[in-house]
Amino acid sequence: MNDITVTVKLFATLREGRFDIRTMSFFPGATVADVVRILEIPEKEVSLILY
Amino acid sequence: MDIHNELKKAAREGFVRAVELRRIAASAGIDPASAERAALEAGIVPERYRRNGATISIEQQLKLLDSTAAVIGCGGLGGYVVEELARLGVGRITAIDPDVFEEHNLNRQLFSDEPSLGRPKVASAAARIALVNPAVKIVPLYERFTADSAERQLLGSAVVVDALDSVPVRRELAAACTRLGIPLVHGSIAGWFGQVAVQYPGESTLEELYAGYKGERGVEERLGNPAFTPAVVASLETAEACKIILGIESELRRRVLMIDLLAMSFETISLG
Repeated sequence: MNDITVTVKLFATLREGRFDIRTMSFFPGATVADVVRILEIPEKEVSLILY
Repeated sequence: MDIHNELKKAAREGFVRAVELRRIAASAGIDPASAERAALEAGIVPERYRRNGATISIEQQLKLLDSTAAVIGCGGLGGYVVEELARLGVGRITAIDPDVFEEHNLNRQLFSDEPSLGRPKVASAAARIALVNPAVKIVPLYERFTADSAERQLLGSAVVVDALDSVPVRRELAAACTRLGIPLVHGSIAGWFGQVAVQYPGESTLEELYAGYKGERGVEERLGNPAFTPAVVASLETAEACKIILGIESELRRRVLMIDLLAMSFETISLG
């Protein structure tokens, strides 16, 4: 199966040292968790909580 | 006295000034809100609402006057929300906050100033609103919001506005609103960033937004809050609260508006 193309948008502090929007290729069946892992976003930051 | 006749005599081009409303209210032995209500029912708009213009009709102004909004938290967000609801003409505002003003509030909290340091935030809110709009009845509750007191604190409100600074309490508030059948406007802030969402009874928007979160506070602990972010997010919350009171469907139902004032971007994410 071919890779899938995904538009990844990051918000607020997740953009720090990364990007705000980027088109990326992922293996078929990739989940949001895979995106998070590849971008090396710590799990505790995934649910962005504002005060 | 014939209040309607007095109002018509005092009105100029369909508007009546506050000084005339006060005089008529005093003569008739009624409170300022009743005088405003009588004017609006007679098709006369209090001068203070002139610039609500065509945005708020006379019928809608009456609806606002006869409605109650509860604002939970009277700090960065809540101060602006209370101020804007009062200027809008919402007749009854319940303001709940257990804190007093501290020096580090001065960079952003509307009702804080140096003389008010150490004073309950809700006391300053009540004093301010009495000066801005005496037709608004503000009910200052110098206490915490708790699930146990939710019914006493919130019942009768057309809308509840979340201006809290604690994730667990926010989740309790959302659950209480669901239990009591009251729409909730959620707002939160951190640094340049903010988010706004609306939860109607029967929905679990807040639980979904904060699913899996175990801490007390969010990224605000590190980022702090500058003067402008609470003002922006509070104004958006007030707009949603206004719409809910007036029966206008919110575009933020089952959606969250993500605000980034650094990138100056506003994006809405559907929650499915």
